[in-house]
Amino acid sequence: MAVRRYKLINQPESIVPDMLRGFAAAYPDIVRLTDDGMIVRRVPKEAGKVGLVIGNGSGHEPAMIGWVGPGLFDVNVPGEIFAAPGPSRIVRGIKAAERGAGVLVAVSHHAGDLMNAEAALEMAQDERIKGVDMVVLYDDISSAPRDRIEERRGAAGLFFVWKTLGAVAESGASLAECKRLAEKVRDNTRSLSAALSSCAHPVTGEPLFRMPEDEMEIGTGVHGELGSGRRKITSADEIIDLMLTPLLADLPFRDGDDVLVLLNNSGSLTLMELFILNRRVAQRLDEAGIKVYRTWIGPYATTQEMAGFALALCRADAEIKQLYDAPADGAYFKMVGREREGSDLG
Amino acid sequence: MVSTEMSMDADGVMRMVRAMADAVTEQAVHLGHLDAISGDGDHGAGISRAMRTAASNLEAAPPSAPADALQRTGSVLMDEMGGAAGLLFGTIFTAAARRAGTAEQLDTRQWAAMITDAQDAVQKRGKAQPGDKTMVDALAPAAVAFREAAEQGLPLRDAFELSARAAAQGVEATKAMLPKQGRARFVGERSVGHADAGATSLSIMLGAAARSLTERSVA
Repeated sequence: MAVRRYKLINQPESIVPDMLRGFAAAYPDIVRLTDDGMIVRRVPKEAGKVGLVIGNGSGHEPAMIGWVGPGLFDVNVPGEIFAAPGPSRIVRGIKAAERGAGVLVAVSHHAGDLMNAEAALEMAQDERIKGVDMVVLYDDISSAPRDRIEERRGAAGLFFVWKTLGAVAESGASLAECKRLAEKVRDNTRSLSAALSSCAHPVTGEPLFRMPEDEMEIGTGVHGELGSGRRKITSADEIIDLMLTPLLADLPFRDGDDVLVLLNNSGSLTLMELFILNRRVAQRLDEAGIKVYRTWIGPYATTQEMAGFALALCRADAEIKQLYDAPADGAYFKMVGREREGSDLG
Repeated sequence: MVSTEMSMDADGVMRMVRAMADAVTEQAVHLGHLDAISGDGDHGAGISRAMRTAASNLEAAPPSAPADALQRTGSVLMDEMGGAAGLLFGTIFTAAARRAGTAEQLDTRQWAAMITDAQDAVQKRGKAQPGDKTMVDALAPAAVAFREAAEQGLPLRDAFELSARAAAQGVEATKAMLPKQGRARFVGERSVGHADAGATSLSIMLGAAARSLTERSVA
C-alpha cells in the first residue's frame, strides 16, 4: 500500500510544539500547555492525592495528551516524534504533578522510555524530591516469550492500566497502592497487533517499513517494530482467529473469566472494519465461555496513518471493573461513571 | 589560554561541538538510512538538530570551563533529542563533564579518563555489552585507543585521531552483528550487513573532534 508521504505541517522542527498549541487551544477547559511543553490539568488534582506522570514520544495521538484530566493523568511530558522526553523534562513533570502524596511515573516499556525514566528518578533523588516511584508496564505478547515477560513492550493494552490507575489515584489511594494496582492490571493484560501498511515518519517522510500491498504482519510494534511473521491478507474472521488463539493461551484467559476488550485503531482502518473484527472477537470469546464486561473500539494509541490494529484483553475482577467504570474526563477519553455493575444500561 | 594540539580549553570544547554538529549534519541522510534498517529512520535528523542547537547555545553564551561546555551539550542532547539515543549520547557528554571537573585545560590523559567514564556510564544506563550492535561497539575501542595514546604521551589531536580510527573499525565490526538492545533487537537478521547508526554517529563525532584540533584558529 502506498504511504502518504506529505503531511500537513509547517516545519519538521515545529511539529510537536505546533501540535501541542493547537491541542491546548481546543480544550482549555481540561488542559493547559506549560511554557516548557507539558500538558497539565487545567484544575490540579486535590492536595493529598498521588500525582500521575507519563512521558512518551509524540506521534501516537491521542496518546497521551488526550489522557490528561480528572480520573486520568495529572501531567503528560510529550517528547519528540517517537522519542521519549529527556530526564530533566520528566523531573519537571514530577514537580508539576506533586500534590503532597507522592508521584508515580508510568512507563510504557520501550528502551528510551525506561532509560529516561530511570535517569529522571535518579535526578529527582539527587534533588531530594521525596516519594517518587515508577512502574514499568508491558502487554505485547509478540515482543518476548512468556518466560521473559518483563522484556515485553508496552502497547494498546496499557490503556486498561491508564484508566484504572487514574481512577485509583483519584480515589486517594497511597503511592504503593497505585503501583500495586498498575502492576495487577498489567499482569492481567495481554495484547497483539496486526499491520497492513506502514506510515510515513513525520520528520523524514520515509515509511517506517515496507510491505507488499497484499500482505500483512502480526505483531508489529507501535513504532513499526518488526513483527513475528508476514502472510497474505485474509478475512477479518481469520485474522482474529490467528490473533486470539495465542492471546488467550498466553495469560491464559479461561472459561468463566470476565474481560475488558480494546480494539485499537493504529491509524487508518475504518470503524466499519473494526466493528467487523469485533464481531468475531465477541463470538470467539462467547464460545470460550469468556464474558465481555466492556469493549472500547477506536484510536487510542496511533502510529500516524499506519493501517492496522491491536487487540487487547484484560481479565477483570470486581476491583478492576469498579475502577474501569469510575468517571474520567480527558480531552480524548471520557467516562460518565456508572453506578451499577454489568451491562445494565438498556 | 588557548587550545593547542596538546590540550583543549572551554573554547576548544565549543569548537569541537561545532565541528561534531557540522559532521553529523553532513552525514544526516546516511545516518537516517542506517537507522531506518532497524529503527524509525530519524537518527540523522535528530542528532544533527540537537548538536547544532548545542553548538549555537555555546556560541551564544560562551562556556566558563570545559566541563560547563560538555555538561550543556549533554543536556541539550537529552532534552532536545530525547529517546534512548538522546539520553545515551547526552550521557557521554555529562559523564565526561563530571570527570573534567574544574580543569581549565584537558589533555590526552584527562580525555582518556573522561571517555572511559563515558563508556561506563553509557553501559550502565543502556545495559549494552560490546557485541550487542550499539554505540558501545564504537565507544569501547575508542576508549581503549585513548588510554593507549595517554600511556604513550601522545598529543590530544593524535589521540582523537587514533580513537576515531578505532571507533571506525568498531563500526565496521557492527555490520556482522545481530542487534541485542532496544527496538533494533526485533529486527534481528534483517540488520546484518549494515552498520549500527549510533556507533556510526559516534565515530563521525570523534573524527570531527580530531579535525577541530587540527583546524584550530589561533587567537
